[in-house]
Amino acid sequence: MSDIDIRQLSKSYGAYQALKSIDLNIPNGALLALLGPSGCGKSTTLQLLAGFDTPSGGEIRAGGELISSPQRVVPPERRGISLVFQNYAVWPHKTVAENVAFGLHLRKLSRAELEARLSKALEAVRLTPLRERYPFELSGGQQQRVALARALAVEPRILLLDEPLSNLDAHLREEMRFEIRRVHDELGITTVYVTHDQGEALVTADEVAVMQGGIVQQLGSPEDIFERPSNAFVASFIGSNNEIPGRREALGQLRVADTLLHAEDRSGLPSIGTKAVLCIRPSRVRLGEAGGANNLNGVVRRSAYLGEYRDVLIEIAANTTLRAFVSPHLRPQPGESVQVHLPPEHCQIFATPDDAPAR
Amino acid sequence: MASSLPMSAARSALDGYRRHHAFRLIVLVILLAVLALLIVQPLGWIVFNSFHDDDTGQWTLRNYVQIFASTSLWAPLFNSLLLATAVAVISTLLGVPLAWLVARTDMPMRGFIRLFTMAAFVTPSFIGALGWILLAAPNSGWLNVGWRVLSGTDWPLLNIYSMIGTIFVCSIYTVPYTFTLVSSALEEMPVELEDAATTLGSGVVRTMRSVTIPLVMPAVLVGFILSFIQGMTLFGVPAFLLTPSGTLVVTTKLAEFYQLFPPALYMSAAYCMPLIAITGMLFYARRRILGRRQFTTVGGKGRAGRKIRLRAWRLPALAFALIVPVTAVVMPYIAIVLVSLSRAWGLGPVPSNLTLHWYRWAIFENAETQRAIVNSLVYAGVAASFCMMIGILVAYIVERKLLRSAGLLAALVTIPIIIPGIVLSVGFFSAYTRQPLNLYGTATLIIAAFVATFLPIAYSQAGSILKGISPDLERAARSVGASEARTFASITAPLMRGGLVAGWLLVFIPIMRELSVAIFLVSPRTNVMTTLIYNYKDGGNYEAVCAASALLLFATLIVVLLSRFVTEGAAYRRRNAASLGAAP
Amino acid sequence: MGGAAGLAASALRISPVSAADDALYAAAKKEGALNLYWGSYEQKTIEEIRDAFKAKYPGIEVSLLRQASQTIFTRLRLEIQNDAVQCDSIGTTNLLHYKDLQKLGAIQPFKPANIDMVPEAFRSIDPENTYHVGAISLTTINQSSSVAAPPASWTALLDAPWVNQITTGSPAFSGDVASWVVAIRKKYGDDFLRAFAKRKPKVGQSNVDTVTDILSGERKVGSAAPFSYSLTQQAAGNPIGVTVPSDDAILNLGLTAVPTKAPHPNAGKLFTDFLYSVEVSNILAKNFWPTLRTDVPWAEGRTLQSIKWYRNPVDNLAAEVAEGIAKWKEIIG
Repeated sequence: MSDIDIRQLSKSYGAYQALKSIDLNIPNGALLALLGPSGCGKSTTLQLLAGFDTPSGGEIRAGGELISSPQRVVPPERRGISLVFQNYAVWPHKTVAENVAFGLHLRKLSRAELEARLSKALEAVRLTPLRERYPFELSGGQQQRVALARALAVEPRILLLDEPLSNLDAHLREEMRFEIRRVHDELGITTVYVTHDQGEALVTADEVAVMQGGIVQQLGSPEDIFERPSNAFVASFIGSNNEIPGRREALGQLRVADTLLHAEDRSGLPSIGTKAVLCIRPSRVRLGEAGGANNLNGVVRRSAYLGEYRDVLIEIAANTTLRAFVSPHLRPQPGESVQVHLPPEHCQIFATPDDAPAR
Repeated sequence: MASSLPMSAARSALDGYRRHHAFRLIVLVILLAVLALLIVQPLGWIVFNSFHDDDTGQWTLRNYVQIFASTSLWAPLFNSLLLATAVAVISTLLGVPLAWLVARTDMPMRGFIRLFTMAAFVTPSFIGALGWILLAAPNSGWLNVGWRVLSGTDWPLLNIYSMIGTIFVCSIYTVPYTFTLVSSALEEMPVELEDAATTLGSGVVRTMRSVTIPLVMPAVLVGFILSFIQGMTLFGVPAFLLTPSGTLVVTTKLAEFYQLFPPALYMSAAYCMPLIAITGMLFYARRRILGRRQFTTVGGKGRAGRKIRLRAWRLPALAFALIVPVTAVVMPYIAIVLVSLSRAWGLGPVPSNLTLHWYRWAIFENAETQRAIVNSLVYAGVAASFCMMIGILVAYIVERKLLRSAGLLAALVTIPIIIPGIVLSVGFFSAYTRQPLNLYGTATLIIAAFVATFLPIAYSQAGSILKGISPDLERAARSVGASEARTFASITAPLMRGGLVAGWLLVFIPIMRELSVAIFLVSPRTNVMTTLIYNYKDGGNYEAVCAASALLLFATLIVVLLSRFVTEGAAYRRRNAASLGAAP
Repeated sequence: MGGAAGLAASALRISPVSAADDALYAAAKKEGALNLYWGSYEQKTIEEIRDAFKAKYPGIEVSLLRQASQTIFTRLRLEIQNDAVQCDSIGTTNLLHYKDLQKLGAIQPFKPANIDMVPEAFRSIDPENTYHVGAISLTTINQSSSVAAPPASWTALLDAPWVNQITTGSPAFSGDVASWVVAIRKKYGDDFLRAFAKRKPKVGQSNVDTVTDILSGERKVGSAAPFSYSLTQQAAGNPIGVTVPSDDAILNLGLTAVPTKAPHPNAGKLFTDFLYSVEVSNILAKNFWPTLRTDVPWAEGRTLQSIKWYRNPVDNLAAEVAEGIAKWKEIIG
């Protein structure tokens, strides 16, 4: 087990910059999720961590030891880092037990110890009854468990998971999220979990690094990321979000159409009078309750019943709409005029994504 | 949790880094040394020779000037291009559907067709041409005789002594390349990929066009190029079938160079260079067509053995599938076997003329044929094995991009295939009959020549197998601690197995039937079947030629069947183990 | 076919000689090996000669490489070029090979012991004694047994009945056919070739192909056809016959030499001596080849004197062959 220290790591493929100097520190035993849309650089980071690729700049240290730099890359098999692949990469010519035991055989363990560690790994992912099966006789979820057990059996100091659940069906995916967290809590291995699914990241991770355009946009706890996103991209990428464009009149004040809205100003913009956006989660929007400031008048355009809540689309100005998740017993009808309240404590002002200061 | 890593992780990592690179360096140095000896040296001699004057032995550009200046040297090149293009197109049109029918459908007699297509592969083309002369010579060909009797006319139905006849005979003996490549690609391809399309409401034809064909495209293109090259480099068929009409192709023109005084060896080396350019363009075109598309298909699940049901099309499909087995094997071998069973073949197959004498003679009485049969089998077996080893290593380096200049390596191992065997033979002679590497008269020399000549096939076959194995399967092994070598041995090699046997056969068989490259290299003790058969033909002993050809076919088929038995046995044991595991 | 039995018998009849009586044999035996590179004679005949040699001269390891004459020659040239000569005795059907080797100083002069038994005309073909006769090859007309009245001369081949019925070899591939072309142009000029072209002959590679075409029924008569081989096929029971044209069978001498750098020169010379022995001429007669001794008649009682033959003069042969091939290509294709 060891911590991971990534410093100014960058990677270019020809003219294309996949990673633009990222810094990350993952404490020993933590579970970090690398979250972002495809092409954001998260998989590149993972390949560099695993040692399958050479960085263009910067370095990676594990437990204080330099494992990757443009000059020197310690080969994957010498890193003590296990990787679980998106497509499982379970070896079709080996049984479940043979798949899992492969890494143990390489370590020249005594037969008893090998068997003990094999059983432990199979037990950890609840595969003991299927140990003699071949991969083609397993479901996708079972194959994923084999891949996980295989990675864990060698007791790596670091575990990397590359979109481990994306090939599974929705039900299984939800179950496996908790499974991965449970295994992590049991073994306490420093883990990096790459995903494009915010749900997975929030449920499993101690810390989440949101990436986009080869840059870490925000690093923080799941709660931080959700409640206090550092920019409009993060706010919109994590969970549902309303982005209301307006003009910044003063610190903490944004004019939308004729209304001046108050909000926590996190834009970092120096000048007054520039364009900016106000972000608020649909679940925090209130309908029909006047609460002093931050009230808008709007017209209901669409109202959808989703069982646990109602998803309402409201037009608040020409070409500007926002969504509100409201209690299902409210029944606003399309065409109805409503008053919308945006509680200032849940409103945040960010720079317009296009103008966001480069980091 | 206790870490299994050594106490000083830092030192271990540095040590691992060094060991990893030292190992890579050693393997690379050995590989480059082998390739230098096997390919660079002989090819270097051919290039060197091409710049020398046959009469004076001095440096000259005259050979090249002559190729450009003399239209009589262009005509054979043009004819060869025509022949090769037609052969490539026809063998693709025959071979790809044939492979699909055998690998994917419920057409009857699939095993028979597979075996006989391999038998076509085994047949040296000059023997096939011989068979077809017996069948379709304009006056005496059995088919034409029958046609005259049936139709009452006196015009021949077929004239094998024509460009069309030559294209036909070359094509039917070239189809097996395409067939083998495409059918093994189809077999490696997971059925789910096709199912995915079918469930989207696409019909069989549509699925083929939009899923199956694009996925086997790399194999089809390799097959097309190999067929083209066959059409360029075959000697026996055009020599027999085109000489009567006075049409020269590159290989028969080369044979004329060798008849001059002194033999125009250097001129013939120069005359091969346009072929290298043409092949280079073909491989470039292939890369352009395939582009950056990746065809990694072996991911998780193994394939299921489900077949597409042809229903009413079963018999028409069978009729199509029988074209190659019947025209390339059944018909010519009936003619060949009848001749081999004759006392005097001019008397025809009448009971009083039948004898087993030539078989008895070849197997029991004649020491030369006995030795040649053993030599052929041993050399082809050893050479095919080395060839596959080197081919896989190079393909691995190229496919997994382990080396920045891997493309050069790929080009290097691909060149020998386009150089007609007789010129390669001279290259090997030049390279290996002088100190410090005098291997003249040894089996090593012949094996080395076979390895180099057929390395392109081994390489391209290994490449297409590797393309089908996801690199993630290898990376998974690396990430749990296996070195590059160990990963290759434990993961890559076993996953290649099915394709390996097919690839090995694809090299073994052409070696068995190769004639030209051995021609200046064999010694009395290292004679092989094909050179011996060619001698009997040179002496006009057709009964012996036919008996020896039938034996060559028989010996090769035994090896084909044995290897099939071995692989299927292994597959069976694996399935068996799997089902045992599933029982409780 | 009694080939194998006959071979065994003929080998048995030969009794070994003693090295003590024969200095050359003693020297050859000391060398211990003999590598024959032969293109003259087909596999079976040359194997019988080899076996007879082994029977007569025990203690010498004989390796026989039998390939087409041109291949043998090219190979020896390569060996000479690389200074890796393995050949002790070369025997091919083309005089020009020896002119070329002589020019290179690659073959050594010596006088075979039995050369006086060789027909006078072929006794001293090379004043420098570097090459000697190795085989006598005749090209004649051959025809299917179904042909009642075969053409009696080369000119008769130009008669109307033989349109689309003639088969022949190519001078570009076959030395025998090339020497036939040279001879026929000497006798009748290019007019013959023009008239010949009008008969639409089928042109194969080797003149052995004429036999194939006749036996298969593809064609009826062969021009520039191999005399000995056609007779062998006839004797085997095949429906083929031979006609010696009244305007001369064309005689092409196969030759033999010992390379200057032969690893076993004495064994090579001993083999040349042996070629002119009664034993070899008996084997040749049995296989329908002209014998190399005046005192051994050919098969079926023929002799060199009983046949009308013509041999091309040697002086300008290389140029004449090249010209003949060019004319052939121009006129016949």
